[in-house]
Formats: sequence, structure tokens, C-alpha cells
Amino acid sequence: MSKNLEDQIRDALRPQDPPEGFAERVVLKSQAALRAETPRPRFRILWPAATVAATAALALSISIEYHSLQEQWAGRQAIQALQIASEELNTARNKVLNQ
Amino acid sequence: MLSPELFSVGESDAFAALVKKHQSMVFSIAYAALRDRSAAEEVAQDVFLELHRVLPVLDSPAHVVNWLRRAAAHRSIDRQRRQQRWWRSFWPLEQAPELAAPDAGGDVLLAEALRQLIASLPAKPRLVMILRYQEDMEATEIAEVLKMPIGTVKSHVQRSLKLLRDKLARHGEISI
Repeated sequence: MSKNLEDQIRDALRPQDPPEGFAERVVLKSQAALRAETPRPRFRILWPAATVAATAALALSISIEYHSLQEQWAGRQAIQALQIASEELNTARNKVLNQ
Repeated sequence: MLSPELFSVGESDAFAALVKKHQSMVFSIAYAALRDRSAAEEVAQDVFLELHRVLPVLDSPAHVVNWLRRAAAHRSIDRQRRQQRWWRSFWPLEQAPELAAPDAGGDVLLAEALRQLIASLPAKPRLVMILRYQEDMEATEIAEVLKMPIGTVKSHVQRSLKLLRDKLARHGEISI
């Protein structure tokens, strides 16, 4: 009696095949999951290096520009000083000539 | 330890072979537990994707099979628990639903009735019955896979068989 029921249960629970293409879908998903999990080291290394290089280039160009502006400012200051000195000398010269 | 080349990225053919070898077993466990082909396929896919991750730490093909059985069983139950109201899983064995179509005979209908009844069993007895009669596993193996005492496994089998016999006899499905 019991054995008969057990055999019927075995028949009822006979293994079934999954839908067509199941294995292919699993393999594709496993490859996609692997790609998603795998880090891309080249970009991981390049990004910080690129950031450092860009920052250094920016700092260098700012520094060059700053020194250039400083030189221009110093040059203008020197010319202005010469102009003032020249005007003072002219004034003194005129005073001497008029006396 | 399984051959390491099986686990490398380029060895998808080996993994595909592994899936093809065990897909029927994993899908059938999920389908017997869930009675829904679409849900069973999702569970089976999740099981194999997880296998892909844990393969390097599995010691042998026998471990792979045991791991697949355990993962398929537990994931199927987890899936069904998420879909059910929480109190449904606490139904006593005796309160499993009656058969929907009790007035027909024949092996096909009997098989369907048995599948319905087994699917309506509470989680643990259902898994025990599936592993016992679908996978032909012994009580000791089931106890190991489901991490439960062997006495509990035997008790689940006996109580489930009695319940199935009573339900089927009540509806004239079997003369056993």
C-alpha cells in the first residue's frame, strides 16, 4: 500500500527539463555578472595619474602667468619711476635756466 | 578540489556543460516546490549563478551536486515565503488545502493531484518529500543537505505520506 503510493509520488515528481535555451541564458548571465564584478585596473590607475598631471599643468601655467604679470608690473613701475625722475629733472633745469 | 581551469573566465564551455548536466535536477526541485515554471526558471538561474561564484571552493563533483540540491531547495522556499503571507508558512501539515479537481481518475490526474498536494505541504516537509522521491535521496543524505536531524526527516516523510494517502483516499483518487 505504502510502496504503491511512494511509486506514484516518484512518477509524479519525475524530473523535468527547464525551458529551451536555459543553459545558454545562465552562461550569458554568468559572463555578464563576471564582467560587472571585474574591476578595470587600467582606468583605475590612469584616472588618478591624469588628475595629478592636469593639476600640475594648471599650477605650472598659473605660476608662469603670475611671474609674467609680475615682470610686466615691475617694468611699468620702473618706467613710471624714470618718467617721474625725468619730470623732476626738467622742472629743476627750467628753474635754473629762468634764474 | 575541482580543476582550476573550470573556473577561469575563458572556460564558459566547462561551466555550460556543468549547467546542462544538472539543469534538470535544479529546475525540477524548484518546479516541484513552486509549481510555476517561470518562477522555477528564475530560481534555477539564481542557483547556477551563485554556483559560478562558489565553484572554486567546492571540493568535488559530489559536493557540487549536494550544494546544488541544497541551494535549489532553500531558494525555492525563500522565493515562496516572499510571495506568501507570513502566517501561511506556519500552517500545520493537516491543514493543507483539499484537491481542486477530485472527481477524475487516471494516472495523469493522480500525478497532478500528488504534485498539487506536495506543493501545498509546509516548507520543510515539502523539501523532504521532493528530495526523497524526486532525487531518490536517503534520509541521511536529506538530513545532511537540509541540516536537520535524521529523525525529523523520517517524521516528515511518514506524516506527509499519511496526509497524502488520507487526502487522496478521501477524494477517491487512489485505491491504495
